[in-house]
Amino acid sequence: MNGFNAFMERYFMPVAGKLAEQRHLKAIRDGIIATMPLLIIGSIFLIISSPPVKAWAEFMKPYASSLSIPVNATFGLLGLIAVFAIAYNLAKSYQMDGLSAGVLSIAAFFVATPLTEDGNIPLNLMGSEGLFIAIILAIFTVEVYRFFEKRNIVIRMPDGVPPSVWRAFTALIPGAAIIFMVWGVDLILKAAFDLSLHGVVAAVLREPLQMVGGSLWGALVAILLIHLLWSFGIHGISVVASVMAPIWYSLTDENVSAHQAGEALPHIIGQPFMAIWWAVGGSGMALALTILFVWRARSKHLKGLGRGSIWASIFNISEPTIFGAPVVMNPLLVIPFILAPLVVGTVTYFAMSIGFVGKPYIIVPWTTPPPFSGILTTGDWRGGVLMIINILLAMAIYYPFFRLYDKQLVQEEQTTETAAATKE
Amino acid sequence: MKITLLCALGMSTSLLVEKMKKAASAKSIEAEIEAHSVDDLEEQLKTADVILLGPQIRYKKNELFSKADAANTPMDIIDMKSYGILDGEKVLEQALKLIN
Repeated sequence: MNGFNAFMERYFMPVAGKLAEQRHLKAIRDGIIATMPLLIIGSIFLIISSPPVKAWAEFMKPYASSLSIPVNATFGLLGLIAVFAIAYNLAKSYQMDGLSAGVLSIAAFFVATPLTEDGNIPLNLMGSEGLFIAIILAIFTVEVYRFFEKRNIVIRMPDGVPPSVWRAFTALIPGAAIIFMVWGVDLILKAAFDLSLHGVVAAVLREPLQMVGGSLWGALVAILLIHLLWSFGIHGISVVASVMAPIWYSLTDENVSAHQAGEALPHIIGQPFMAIWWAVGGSGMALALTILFVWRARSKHLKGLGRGSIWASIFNISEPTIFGAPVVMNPLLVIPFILAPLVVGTVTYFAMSIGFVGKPYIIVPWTTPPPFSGILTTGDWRGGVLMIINILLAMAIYYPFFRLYDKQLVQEEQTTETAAATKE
Repeated sequence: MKITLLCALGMSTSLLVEKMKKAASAKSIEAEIEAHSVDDLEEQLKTADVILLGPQIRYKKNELFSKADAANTPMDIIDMKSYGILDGEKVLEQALKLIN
């Protein structure tokens, strides 16, 4: 085990670190996180427009179309806001002017967006459908901008000109080049293949990625990876989400659109599933383990730890439990720690696919305590029931391992106590 | 004196900060102790006298340590066990040792 740990620390950690700190991935992640407050605000309106109580939902029906306005302005603009925020963050990471890059990327995004037949901006392409092309164009904009700046192909102003003025001029040449290139590609695609950039990105990138990321297998692999990382004390979700977040958000936004259109929700996997459903009490269904500590632990260590960390765990903060028990590098607890979320994820998936519980489409802050998070994300009171079942299930999975570990600790505590007593 | 703790979002370290503040006032040590997200590192390097990292973000240590080095701010990773049981006294000691 020690050799393996050393191996992981030496070779695996730096890879995880590089992945999480990779400039473009980080800009994408931070850009998408920037949309988070809006998505939560939009979710509040979604909950109001279709509350989990049936009579109340009927009462709200006539107001649905006015309630959809704030939803369209939040969820519906996911792609548009992301293109700006990603370009801004990426430019900042190069110590370039974030604002100019963000503004240029919005223009590039609109150049690539085909208008509706009557010449309007298509709302559906501003949301998650446009998210992947937003990512590509944001990176393209900043990289081209940087290329021009590095080779000094920009208009320089003499000293003494105010920064807001010279900034606008610096962006002129690279900006024109970016718009021209995106426009050119768009024209060629249209003329030669009758396709738009949106259509191409959807076919080669968005749909395949959503297919993999939105499947049960895709989700289970992600959950497994997150918990393997945590087993070595690494913040697993930060690493995995830096690659997967765009996929999860776009899946959820498709659910929101379907919900608004009154259609059946297409996806189970998405942001709420990955942030809430298998992570009750934090990664590894840690609340289940923490409850066992408080309720059944005989060792002073686990009992004390449980009492200290139960409140954090109710709000889905699992670090005290994971590092305190510890779960990290502890073969006995690592097994259920990985197993419980995989089982809970699978059970939840099937409960949702047979219609026992509604599919999640509402985004809530990840600190929302269970079972409310279960009710709110699905807009279905049975979501709360399933979440409680999940916690009990995880407790059952943890129990035998917890008992063994607790017994070990009790023995250790007794030996140290007798040793201390004989010393006196 | 300012001690900054960093983790993924500054959430779980904030629990430890409370314990460290208690430990500091018990020893009548004047210290400003704050928890922040690791993304605020640059900002914190300007004001903090010492920076401690939650063990869950130690996979980023190469980059973080080199940045701290450049800014001449001492940095270390919090011991996993003390982190888990929120041992404010021990972590405070670790911070004080780094400053001296």
